[in-house]
Amino acid sequence: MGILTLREEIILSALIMLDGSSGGAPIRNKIIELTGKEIVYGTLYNLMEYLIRKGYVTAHKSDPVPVRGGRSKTIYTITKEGRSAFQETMALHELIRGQLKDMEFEV
Amino acid sequence: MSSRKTCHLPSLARFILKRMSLYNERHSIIENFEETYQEIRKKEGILKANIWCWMSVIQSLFGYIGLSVLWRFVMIKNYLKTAFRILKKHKGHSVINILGLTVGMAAFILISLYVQYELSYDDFHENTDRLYRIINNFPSSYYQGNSYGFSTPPPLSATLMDEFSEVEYAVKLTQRRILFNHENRSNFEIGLFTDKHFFDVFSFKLLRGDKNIVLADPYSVVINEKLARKYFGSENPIGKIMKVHTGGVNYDLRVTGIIDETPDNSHIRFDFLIPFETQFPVEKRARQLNNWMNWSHRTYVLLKDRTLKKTFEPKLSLIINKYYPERYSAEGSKKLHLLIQPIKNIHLGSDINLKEIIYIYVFSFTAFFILLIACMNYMNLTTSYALKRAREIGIRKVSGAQRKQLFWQFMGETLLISIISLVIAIGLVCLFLPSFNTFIERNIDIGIIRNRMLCTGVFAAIITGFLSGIYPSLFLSSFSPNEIFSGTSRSSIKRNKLRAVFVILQFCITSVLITSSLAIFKQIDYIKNIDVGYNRDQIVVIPIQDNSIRKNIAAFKNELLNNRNVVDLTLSSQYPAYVSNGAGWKGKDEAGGDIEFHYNVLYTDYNFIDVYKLELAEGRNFKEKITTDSSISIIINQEFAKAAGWKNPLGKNMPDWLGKNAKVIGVIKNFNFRSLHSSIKPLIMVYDQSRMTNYVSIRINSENIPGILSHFERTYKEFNPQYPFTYYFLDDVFNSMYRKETKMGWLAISFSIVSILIACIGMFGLALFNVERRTKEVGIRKVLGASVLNIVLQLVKEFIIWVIIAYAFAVPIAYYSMSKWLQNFAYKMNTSIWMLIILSAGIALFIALLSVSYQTIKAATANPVDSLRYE
Repeated sequence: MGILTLREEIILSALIMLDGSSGGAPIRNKIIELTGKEIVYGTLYNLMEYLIRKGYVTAHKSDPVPVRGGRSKTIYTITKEGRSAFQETMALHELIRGQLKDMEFEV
Repeated sequence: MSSRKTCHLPSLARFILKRMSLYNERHSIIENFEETYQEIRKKEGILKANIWCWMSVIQSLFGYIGLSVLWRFVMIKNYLKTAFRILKKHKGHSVINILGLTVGMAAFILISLYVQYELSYDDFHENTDRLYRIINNFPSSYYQGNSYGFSTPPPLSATLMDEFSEVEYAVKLTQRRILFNHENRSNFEIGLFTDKHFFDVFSFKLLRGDKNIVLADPYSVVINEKLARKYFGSENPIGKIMKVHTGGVNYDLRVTGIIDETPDNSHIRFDFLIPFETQFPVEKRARQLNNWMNWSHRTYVLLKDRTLKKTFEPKLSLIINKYYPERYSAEGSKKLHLLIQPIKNIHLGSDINLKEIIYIYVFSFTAFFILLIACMNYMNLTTSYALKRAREIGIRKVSGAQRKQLFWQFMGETLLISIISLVIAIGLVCLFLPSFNTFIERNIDIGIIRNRMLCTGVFAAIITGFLSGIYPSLFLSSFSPNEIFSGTSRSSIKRNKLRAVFVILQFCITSVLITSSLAIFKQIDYIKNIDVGYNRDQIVVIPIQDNSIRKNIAAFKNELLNNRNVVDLTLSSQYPAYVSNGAGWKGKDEAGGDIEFHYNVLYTDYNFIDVYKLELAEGRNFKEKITTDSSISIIINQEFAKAAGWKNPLGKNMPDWLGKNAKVIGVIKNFNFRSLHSSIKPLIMVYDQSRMTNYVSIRINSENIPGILSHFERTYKEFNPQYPFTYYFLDDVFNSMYRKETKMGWLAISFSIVSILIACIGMFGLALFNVERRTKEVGIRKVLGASVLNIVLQLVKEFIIWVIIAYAFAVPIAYYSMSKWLQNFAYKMNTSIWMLIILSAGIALFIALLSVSYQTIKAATANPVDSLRYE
């Protein structure tokens, strides 16, 4: 199981906060809320492509939106592997933080 | 969500977003954009929303481009991997493919380097586009055709500069071979007498000295680095005095400047520059510089602007009108025109005669054809191997590859192969360039042309890749997986008419090349062995360059004769193969009509006819004892008698300029006193002791030639210690006149070999494929009792038919082009072109059979058990 990069971590945490499954726009809003920084859709999709290739996220089309001419949206869902990679990364964060504290470094 | 209908994303943004197909399919980009857009619009107004929209679109676009490049790259990696695997798997096939393309490309690069070099002549002048040479033109006369020359009179350049506002500078120059003495060294050097504006007009590099003053003083000389090293070694030559001997006068010239050596691609070549007036003795200078009748110098003009050419050229007739009024108003062959020729056109003579530029066209076409043959070869082999890759294509298609993707995959493979071939080809070019240089007598330097070579190479590789890739790629990507797996596609791959067309075309081009090279060789051989009417074997010609020998000519002759290996010797103003002095004839024929023609004049000693073993048709030879024979007895050739319309030429009167009462005393049989490119012209021979002393022709025995030559040299030095001794063998001179044709012949042969090689490689590959495909068929035939010969014929039949069809196409092309080429010669070989065509057909058929026979015979003699067992 690999360690996530910071960006992947942010996306996954946003996804987890949205109950593990969401469309693109809410994820983007969540990320902005989390980090306070703007993220472009292009960047988001590129990162999503990586996550999908690694098997941490799956994408599927939702049913069409219930308006006339409404189209289906992509819904991203975090997988089991995604969750365990996230947990592992979190654990690593804890480990590093703990060790830094033990050695009395200012963090 | 009701506001959705009233307010959308800007339609252009929507359009751009739609183009990002990957985002669209996988991530519903438009929907997401729409959602966020609405949110922002609600919260912060339409302006903010639009700004956000555009910023995001642009930034996402970069992200999208990055992503798609990444994915393509992943796919390209896969394609490359496949390509290398295929190369490795079918080693024989790959080697054949790469070899064919390599040879084709190497030939293409080599030829295009040569062509580019030839076209680069005189490019280095800064003002090359407005630099012109003045040429003169006498409209056609009876024997000479339309004649252009580039000699002009000395006052022309000054007149042009003074009287024509279009001219920035004009400069006259004349090339001379003169004797330099410095301390103990004395040598002939070739250089120019020229004006002080030389460096304003041309961009030759002056290494030392000021370009405005180096040629200002009449007694100055500018030498190049080679001469500086030769005469002064490591000393500084500036300010040193060099002794120069010219026109019978010795001068002391001061070295005022050093020039770089002339670039190889300059049509003006020189080792030194001397002010123009110095070539005339002091007392004659003023008169010579103003002599409009002395047409023996070249004039170049630098116009102020290139566009002035049109207005300037017609104005030159003003000069003719002013200084040659009778020529201006004259009609016919006496009329004179002055024209200007761009300096870029001089080397190839593209607007005076087409001879040189034609060779350039021929070479370019050949280069192109060789590359084409190589491409067709590749197409052939690749499509015939399609069967082996059918499964791969099927699998790819089943797993979702589009035709477009497959097409680019195969194009990529072709490009890869052509790049591999390019690398090898460039290696080959580097290897062969030195010998190619000696062959074409040019100096193409690999260091200088490296970039150009790479450009040409990459160009060739891309062209080859595309040309040879498109068809196989279309063909391979068109297979339907259904057919492939059910096995029905095999027949469509097998029966590919286009493949036959390619082989036929290849062999057609090859046949034309073989026929042409055979014809060229036959013709050159014919010319070398033609009976020119005189005996040129074992004749040594020594030029007499100085008056000190002329004064003691009788003693000089005696001394030369004083060797038992010298048979005889004679004197003449010029020698056969290079007789060019002439005059015009005007007279009446027997019916009283006007006759006008040009004839050549040769001043000879009394025994010229004996030494050269010419034959008299009528009359008698000159006799030394008869005093009237000197200068007023004339011998003419048969052609002269014919041109003048004389049935009984003996005793006819000749023009007065030959002496009062000049009469014809004999007629010699026609002999070729010039190159065999031209037919025999009218000639008169005059026994004139004062004008015959330019060349000594000595007939020798072939024993101890070094001994004879050293005897000549000793004698020469004894009479003229100042001048170096030079000599030539007449047959060498003769052969050197046909050097260009000989080279053409060799070049044609080499190109034919290259194209034959490529075509053979192709044939070999096809045969290999054919035999592999038909192994079972051969086995069954053998089991049923077919003989080896039977099977070989069966397998080879197809190829033979192809070669025969190719010949049917090649024959008219070869016939036409060779008849055209032969028109250059007044004497044409007696072998007919048809014979050569049949001969070359034989050669082509033989080669074709040879290249397919190995595979075929191997297949035919194989044990049928082996070929049938594996089922």
